[in-house]
Amino acid sequence: MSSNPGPLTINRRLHPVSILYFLIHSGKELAGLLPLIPFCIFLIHRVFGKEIDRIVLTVCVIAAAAIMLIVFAWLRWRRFVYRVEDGVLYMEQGLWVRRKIWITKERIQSLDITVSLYDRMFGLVRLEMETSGGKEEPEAVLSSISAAEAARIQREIGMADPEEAKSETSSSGDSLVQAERPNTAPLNSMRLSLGQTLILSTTSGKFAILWMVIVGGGLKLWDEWVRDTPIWDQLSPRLMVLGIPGLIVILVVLSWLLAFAGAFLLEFGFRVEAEGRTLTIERGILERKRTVIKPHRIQAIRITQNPLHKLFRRASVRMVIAGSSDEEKKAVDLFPLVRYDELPMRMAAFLPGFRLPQTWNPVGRKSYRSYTVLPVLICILLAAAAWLLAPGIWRWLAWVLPLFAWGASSLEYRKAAWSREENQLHIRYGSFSEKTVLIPISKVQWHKTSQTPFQAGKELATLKVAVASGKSGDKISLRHASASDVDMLTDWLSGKQ
Amino acid sequence: MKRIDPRAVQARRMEGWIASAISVVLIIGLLWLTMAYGWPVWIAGWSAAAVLLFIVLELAVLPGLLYRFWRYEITEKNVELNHGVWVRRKTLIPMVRIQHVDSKQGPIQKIYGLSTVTFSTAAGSHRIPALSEHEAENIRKQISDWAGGTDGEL
Repeated sequence: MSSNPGPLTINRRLHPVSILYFLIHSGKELAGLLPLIPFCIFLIHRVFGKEIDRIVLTVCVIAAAAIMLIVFAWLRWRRFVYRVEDGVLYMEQGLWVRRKIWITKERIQSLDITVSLYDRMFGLVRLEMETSGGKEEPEAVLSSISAAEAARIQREIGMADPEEAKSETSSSGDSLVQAERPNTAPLNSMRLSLGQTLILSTTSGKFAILWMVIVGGGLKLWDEWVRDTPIWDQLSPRLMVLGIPGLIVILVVLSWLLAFAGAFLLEFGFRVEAEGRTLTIERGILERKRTVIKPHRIQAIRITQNPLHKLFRRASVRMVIAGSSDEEKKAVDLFPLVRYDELPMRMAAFLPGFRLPQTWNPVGRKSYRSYTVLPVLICILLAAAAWLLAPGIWRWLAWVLPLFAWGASSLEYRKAAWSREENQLHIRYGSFSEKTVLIPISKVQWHKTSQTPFQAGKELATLKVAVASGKSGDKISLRHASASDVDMLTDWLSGKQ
Repeated sequence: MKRIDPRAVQARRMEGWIASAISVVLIIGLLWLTMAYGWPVWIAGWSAAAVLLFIVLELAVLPGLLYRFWRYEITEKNVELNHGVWVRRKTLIPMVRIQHVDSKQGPIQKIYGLSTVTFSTAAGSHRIPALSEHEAENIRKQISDWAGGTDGEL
């Protein structure tokens, strides 16, 4: 896979399979143009009248778009070369604009190795590197390189895998999949058993979001295409038999199943290992992904207990990570599901810098009304409007809303607490699920206190703390705490104590 | 603590005049539509009342409040910003966290010789809305001296 012998080292090219990666990648970029397809079809239909069959036309337009995408992907692959020398990664890429990038190994903060489905067949991996620069500096992606080549690059940039040093790895990408070594160091390595993965996938709350994406995407196509085809005519009478409640149940079950499958495939075989200066996280079944993170990139720790997890005395722990330009990668799972009583021990092994607080200082009785009055008031107004406008007996149901708001905000009041220990600030918040954030004060980028006249009357204030993450940082708020506590915390944060 | 430049009041009022002029034009358009198509009068009536309130706020109330409720202080250790009319906000940015300082000038600010200074950190940015060009330049230089020494770790 090499060409252009250079004066020092050879420029390497990716495996041709990476055309698939470029295809998916440019496909994602062009997804916004997708609605153009029905528009094109509609336009051609208008121009040429009825003599062109709608289905043939659709196939033609889609085929043309597909061919265009493939040609672009092939060109992208042709123009991509890279080399690693003296701890510097050099890349040359770009279709329209030729871009040359040098990245020194000191700048590389984290590293992802992914084995996607298409790569696995050829024993290849995808290597992604993130730099500390954040916004403007690009992320380096080497898709479809051999596992041995990935290991070589990892050694060159000084982020070799922990097990790499101990045992030799076969040169195929499957070595990631068959990671079945005996558990020599149980403390600084943790894996999720099948049972735990099942529990985690079952209780995953992501299905609501997934569901909305599906509905949103579906509705777009709906009007333009489906109604005109015979599919709708065949399908609709069968679905209508079930009635609206039946349909809702089916949709909920379907979306839950989808979410379950999605979470299961993503989380399967989760394994995290702390070795020396780095954390290594591995997960996934269809797409096996290994992430190597330098610990000083961790800005804060978020511990979440949703009601279902609380029932089983479990929690999930995520790390807030600095320097990623990708908003989705702001937080990385450390322990997707962990027993709450094991947490202090695990934290000590994996995150030596972080500790769970011994005691909590609740916000205090004074702030009860600050939490509850406003949401309840808004919900009373909404419920009153619904009650006045909606017909029938069901309108009385609207009054459940303020009750619900009262319950949720009371819970929020009860959860809100802070704690200050050594050089860490801890904030607890949330209504139904409880969230705890551990922030080392050395990671705080800025902080802000705010006070409304209502709060001023009751001597309360809100504290907001920001840590680096993503483009605009991650902000954590402690709402309606006593003003003297907030003053004490701000003095502490600004080094006046 | 320092105040922002007093010309901020005039600059803000100028913006208010422009916004008011646009909203008056919109109201005239609405009136014309009401006449031409026989729309209910209350739409135009309430809109006119709302616009009147908006104009009073924009020209008489807000410019003064903006100036009166802004304070800032820049020391070797911290940048402190105090502002907010209804909600009083106090922001504190440690000097070592500041990645860069920008000053920029919109067309209206240019007339009054004002600049907006923006402090960027790894977790978003903060700004002081109206400083004299001279003061903005001073702050920029000062901070590059203070913040320049430290780099690297997040």
